[in-house]
Amino acid sequence: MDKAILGYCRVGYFRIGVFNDQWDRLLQQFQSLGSCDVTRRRLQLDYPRDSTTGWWTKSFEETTIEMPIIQKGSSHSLLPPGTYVRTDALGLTADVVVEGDEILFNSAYYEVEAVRPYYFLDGFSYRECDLTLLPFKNVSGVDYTTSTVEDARYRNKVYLETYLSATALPNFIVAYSEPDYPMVRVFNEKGVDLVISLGEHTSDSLIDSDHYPFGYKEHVPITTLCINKINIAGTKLMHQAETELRRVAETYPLGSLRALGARRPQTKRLGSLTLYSAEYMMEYQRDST
Amino acid sequence: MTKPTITYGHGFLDDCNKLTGLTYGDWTETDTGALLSSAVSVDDYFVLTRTAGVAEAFLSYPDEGGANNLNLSPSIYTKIYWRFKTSSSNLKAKIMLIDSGGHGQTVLPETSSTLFTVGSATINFGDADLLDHIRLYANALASATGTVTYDFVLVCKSIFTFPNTEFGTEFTPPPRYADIEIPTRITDVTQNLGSPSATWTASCNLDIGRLGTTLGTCTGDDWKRPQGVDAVYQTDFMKGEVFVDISHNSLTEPFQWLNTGKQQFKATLRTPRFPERSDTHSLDLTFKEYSRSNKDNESYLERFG
Repeated sequence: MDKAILGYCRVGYFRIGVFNDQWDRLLQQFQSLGSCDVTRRRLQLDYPRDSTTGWWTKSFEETTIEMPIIQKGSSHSLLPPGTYVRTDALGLTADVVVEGDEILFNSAYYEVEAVRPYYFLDGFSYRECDLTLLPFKNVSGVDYTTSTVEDARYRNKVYLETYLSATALPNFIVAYSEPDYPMVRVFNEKGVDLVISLGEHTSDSLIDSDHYPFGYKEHVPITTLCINKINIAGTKLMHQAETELRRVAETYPLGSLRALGARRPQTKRLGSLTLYSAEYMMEYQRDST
Repeated sequence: MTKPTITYGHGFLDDCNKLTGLTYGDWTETDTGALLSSAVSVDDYFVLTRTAGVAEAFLSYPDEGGANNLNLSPSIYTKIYWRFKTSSSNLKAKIMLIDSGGHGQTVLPETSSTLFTVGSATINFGDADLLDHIRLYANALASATGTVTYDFVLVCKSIFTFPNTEFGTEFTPPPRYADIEIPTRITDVTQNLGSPSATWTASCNLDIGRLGTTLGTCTGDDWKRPQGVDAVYQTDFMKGEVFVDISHNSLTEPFQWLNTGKQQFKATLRTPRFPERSDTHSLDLTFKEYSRSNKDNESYLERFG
């Protein structure tokens, strides 16, 4: 548990500290009503990436932490002023919790959507965590045989991974969009500089003269995502990625007949973070197999 | 869904308009003498007339007692096509291939059809023997007499299946009006002299070349031959090369057997066109019906069926 030290002094070999106990007092008040122990499931992306989606395989490490949880629609007299429930639930804790972690509480699973640390003066006090209920956690279905017809995203992932130059783009990944973990983990924890993300395609049938479809014209959105780093200007890296995508499309248009279509700027400012991004539409014809 | 197909690469073609004086001699009767006569009708068909009895009667080409053989390798010439009809259900057509080891492959078992019927088979002797002779039979039930008519026999390399005809096909069966300018005997349309040839056009998308029967993991393009195999095994250099092959060999290959998926007939390929645009590479084909004789000899069902 992190605790804010307001100050300390030395007495001989001993050091006497004066701590901010705002969190301890708050926690004691909650604990007087019941246990505040929950299971933190720490998200780990230590396993290799999935060969189809390009997503890191998730695993979780479980530890017990103290986190009073307030459900949406309820108010609590113990809550600090200005604190309210933004998502399905709000968790308060002084323990380490990061985005993407899961909280197991009363047999219900929550995903940590956002973590906001609160400080008293220059000392850490506690974290406010927005929690989203995972109603289908651990729900299983039947086994399905994988289709022999490959996903349009996968075909383009293989295409890009085959031809994109590791010299021009030394630290990039190609992966499906919408991974089920926060992107911040990719840029931060995994140290990736550039993500080339494959979105879900739209498609039109190619109809033969006998009215039977024999192929598909597909439009696969390819989005480049990068941020500023100490030695990387995100806007320059975004352009570098565009140049490389164009080179691949110019050099290898044949096979399934690809063409890099419309470009749409997608750069967003997210608080202090600028996410440099552009979407390109890969026009692509394929047969029905 | 039936994709159009066309034969290519003739190894042997007999349009059944000549019984004697062929490259390797004559069609020769080598059975016990059950054929009453064999003749060419309207410069287009072999008509084999037989006597009653169950003894098999057939013509062979080349003469099985002679020195000549067709010497066709089944590994190169894999398909045989034929067209026949019988005068009644008591008469039976049958086609047998004789290999260089003296063994036979019956590609058409005894069959009756009072309308012209086309058929095909894969040539397979089960060993490395060559195709040396072709037998055309005129068999019958015990007391039956009648005729068996053959229109053509074609041994070819294979058939090519069109991967698509995305930009359209058009079949144009002509009427049998003469349309001769006045003055004529009666009017300009009632001469009943015959019929112009039917045409079939197809416009194909060369950019998509995968047959539904080809495995998705296959790297080949089905606009190239052989179809349905990985690219490394394909021998065609360009997409649609089969039509260049057919066009180039039109001098020695009078017609191909075209099956449009709805109609089938002997056809000649007119100048194929390969327009290439920024968004599409396509192939435009025009086929014209081929016939040696007046179309009055067949019903429209037989002609295009």
